[in-house]
Amino acid sequence: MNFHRRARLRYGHASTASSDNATTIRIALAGNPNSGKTSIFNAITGQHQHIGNYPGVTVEKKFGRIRYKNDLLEIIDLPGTYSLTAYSMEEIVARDFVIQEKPDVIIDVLDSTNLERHLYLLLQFQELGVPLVGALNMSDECEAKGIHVDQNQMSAILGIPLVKTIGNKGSGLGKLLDTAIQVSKGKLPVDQRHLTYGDDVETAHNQIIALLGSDPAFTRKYPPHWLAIKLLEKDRDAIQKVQHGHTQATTILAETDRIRQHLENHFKDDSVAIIAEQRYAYINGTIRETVTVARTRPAVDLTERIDRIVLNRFLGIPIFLLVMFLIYQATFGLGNPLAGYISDLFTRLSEIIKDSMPPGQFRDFLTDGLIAGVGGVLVFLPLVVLLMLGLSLLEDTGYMSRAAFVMDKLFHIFGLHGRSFIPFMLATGCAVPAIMAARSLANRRDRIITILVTPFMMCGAKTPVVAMLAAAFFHEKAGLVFWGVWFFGWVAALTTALFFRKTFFRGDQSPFVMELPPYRLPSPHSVLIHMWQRTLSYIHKAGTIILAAAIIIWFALNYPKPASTIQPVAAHSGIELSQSAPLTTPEQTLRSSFAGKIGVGLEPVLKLAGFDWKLGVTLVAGIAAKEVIISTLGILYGIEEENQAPEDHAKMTAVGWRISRDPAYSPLIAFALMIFVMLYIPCLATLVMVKKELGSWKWPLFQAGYTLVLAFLMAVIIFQGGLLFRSVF
Amino acid sequence: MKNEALNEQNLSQAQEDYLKIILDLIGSHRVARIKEIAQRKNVSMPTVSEAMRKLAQDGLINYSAHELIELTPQGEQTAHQITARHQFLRYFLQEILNIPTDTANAEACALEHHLSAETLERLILLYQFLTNCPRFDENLIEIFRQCLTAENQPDHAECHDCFVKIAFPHTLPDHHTIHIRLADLPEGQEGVIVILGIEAEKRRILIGQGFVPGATIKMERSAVGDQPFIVKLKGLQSKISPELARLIEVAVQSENQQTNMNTNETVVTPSNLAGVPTGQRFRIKKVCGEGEIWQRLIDLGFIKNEVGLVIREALLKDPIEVEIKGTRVSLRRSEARLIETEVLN
Repeated sequence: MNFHRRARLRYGHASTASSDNATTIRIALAGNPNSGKTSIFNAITGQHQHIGNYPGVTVEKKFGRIRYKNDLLEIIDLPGTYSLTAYSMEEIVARDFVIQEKPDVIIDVLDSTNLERHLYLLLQFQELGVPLVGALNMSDECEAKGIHVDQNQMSAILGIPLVKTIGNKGSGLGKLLDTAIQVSKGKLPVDQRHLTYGDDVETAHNQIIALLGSDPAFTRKYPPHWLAIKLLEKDRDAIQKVQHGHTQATTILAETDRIRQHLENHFKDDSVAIIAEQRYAYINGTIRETVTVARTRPAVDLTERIDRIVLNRFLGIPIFLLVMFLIYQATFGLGNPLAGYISDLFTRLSEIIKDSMPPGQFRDFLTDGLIAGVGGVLVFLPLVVLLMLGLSLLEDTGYMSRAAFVMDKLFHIFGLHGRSFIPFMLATGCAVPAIMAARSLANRRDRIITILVTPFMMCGAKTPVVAMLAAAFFHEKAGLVFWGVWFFGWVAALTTALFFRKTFFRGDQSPFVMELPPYRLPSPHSVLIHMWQRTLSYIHKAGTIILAAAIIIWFALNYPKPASTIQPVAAHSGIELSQSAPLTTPEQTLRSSFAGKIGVGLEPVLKLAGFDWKLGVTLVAGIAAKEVIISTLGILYGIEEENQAPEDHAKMTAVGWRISRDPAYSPLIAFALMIFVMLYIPCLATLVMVKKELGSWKWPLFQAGYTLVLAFLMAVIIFQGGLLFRSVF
Repeated sequence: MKNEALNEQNLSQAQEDYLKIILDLIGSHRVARIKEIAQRKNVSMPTVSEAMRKLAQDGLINYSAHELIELTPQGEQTAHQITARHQFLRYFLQEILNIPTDTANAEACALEHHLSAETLERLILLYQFLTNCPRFDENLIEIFRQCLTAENQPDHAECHDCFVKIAFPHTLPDHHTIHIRLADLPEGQEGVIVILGIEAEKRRILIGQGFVPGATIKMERSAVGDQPFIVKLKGLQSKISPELARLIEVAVQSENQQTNMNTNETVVTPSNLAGVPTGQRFRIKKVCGEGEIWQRLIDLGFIKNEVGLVIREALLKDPIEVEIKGTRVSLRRSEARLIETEVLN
């Protein structure tokens, strides 16, 4: 996989563990979302980046280690934030990292075309008193728009070095790193001045700093200058830090309140607003001195022109649906055949083993357990990768926020954020990438609710199951029934979301307000890296556990084996059988296995919904992957199965035909079954992904539990209701 | 009735008419005969004779031989003046106010008789201003004409801004006067009627009931449900239905603005971002709210005195897209409501 391009290669190659005595220089990259920070990170670290988690939280930590000239660099990509308040995990993580990990230098990536806003974050880093370098990114766009930034003057005013860069072309990055390294080594004079926000604020500020000084241990840990401002801003996290860490906590907090009140009375405004306004005033002053616009910007730039169409009141939603459809088509159009190849590959592998090994339990374990398990995981891979590619493109070009804009009102009715729509749309293909996509929801509550309900949608695995049942039991009405069940998926997801919103996850609406960034063409390099990361991450994390679970289920379906009655006779007569004759039918094997025993054991309960032990076993098997339902039914009805793709119509219709002939089943039961399949426990891959995204096993367990209960209740209601209906009429 | 006549001679309206007719007849027929004058004026010939005798006395005509009438130099001058003024007024009524010809003619006559020289000069200046003032790029007369024809279709595209301005309150550039709908006027508040809406039929009703621009009006009791508003107009109590009250725009001094409005419309406090129409620029006065939403708004640039522009709204009117601090930001109307603004022109 060669993702190195021209410029990238210059900057780094992986550092080896055994380095010379050069210590690692730790550089943190910060900036607004959409500042192009990620492109710079990718350009600098290339493939040598890793994704982890900040300890204790589910915020992604991206970092990379490279060797650059004579130094070892560790680059940490901090989460993109607009500010450093205490309201979001990302912001707290960013500031805690700076305070606790004390990186050697911070590079703040700024969009030069919009310094009014981007400098706001820079000021806050300055308040933290850390070594800082500013990257005036997107300087090409700046020039194109006729905006001229007097770099030297601005650098002098702000007191930090500034470097012009073009992140997605890789230009200026060498100089940026050089400057950063120099700053970290103390070779560049960085003005350690403290920002002042006007006399009144300054007085209050100094008073609080003096108060904090009474505990030197505390002030060594948390920069007092910054903390004082945060206390003035009623920063929740700052207050907590004082409460838990400062010896004079109560006095300080009381005094701070008084000081703040005084300030607020003076300005007749809230202290947060006062400080924000002072910051912006400082920024405006700086910009007035240093930024000139050579010619008037065109009133209607390209972004506006595109938005006129894409955000048009009437075209907005159709265009969005079209975009999703295209992504969907591309993903499944390309992905399914690829998945087919992978599936074939594993089938072939399985056959090779069957041919080359003597029959026996170990062989069965290899073919039906291990290979089928691994294959089951890897089969998802093309889909995941392609969907991630599509999503990255949407996000990086800037269309994602437009889509959220267009869909928000609709989703808001169900208590969801406009950004939840993408997981919903994706879930109609596969829940796994849908859950990964929920990451774009900033608010944890929104994310949890979205993740908990999207598996209700009819995904690519449930489709053949429902289609088969519909065709088998409803004949000419099959299409209608199928569509009804598909629609039910949406209804179930949205209603449950609303329910969660109103009960367990009540609370303030998370803010919708968001930036609509200008449209930009992402660099292909960046997009590919994005895709590659997600792929690796999927294989690594999901693969191990899904594999383990698949093996367990295989075991449950095949063991214990039923007693075979023929072999003792053969042994007696001295004839050696070269191959154990399959004297027990697959159905019998199934019945005697753990899964079968569970199915039989649960039968009395299942009967309430009209299900029998066979369906019980099938549904248990379906936990591994919903397609398995068809193959398990196939086994039960004695139809030869060999890991065939469920889209194989011949088999599907065969199974359907057989089931519909079974007097134990009826259209009513089939319908109850379809609904049950739609709602109950999400497949293993999904459950694992849920754990990964939300951080703890309690979530997938909760999900498995509530979906099972809901599914069963619905099935019972349908079945019993139907019987009642029939007996009355 | 004779007010200040145009000429020093204090002619009656009838006499002025005669002079006009005589001038007209001489112009077209070369002579003016009593018979023709009588026909034109629709009176009997003896009446005309008597009038001619008076005119001759005043030295404006020569009434000598049987039936033939001539204008004296002075009479000619006077007649020309009268005719010209009549003509201008008729033109003014027809071209600017779009009055039909017959009415214009008749009213021009009457007007010309009663208007003082100064008033007529002002009208001429007004006409010049509307047609010629270099500070306007467009032909105001043309635009007014569109206003007249569009007024029966309030949703007419060209009139959208005007209609919307009546629907949403706005502050005038002097920052002290605010225009709001009468329906939104708080109890106890006074204002001056400025606009009576753009639907002709309703306007007539309002005028008939005494609601005219320039009149001072005070809100006594706001409407509840279908009940009418009770207002005081020139000291007299009056009722007005909510529907009509929504058509009237009233000017209020901004210091006295109350915030407790009880209208039965979707809640739009007179000056917040949710009420700013698409395409309108605004200035932020204050950002209310608390907690995370408030902080986000500030982080994205919504602060006091910042100027922005409402770019568009989504299909169901929610969310809206706004430009602030050089960035495009989208927000829900519920969030926009937290931002107090004043509308800029």
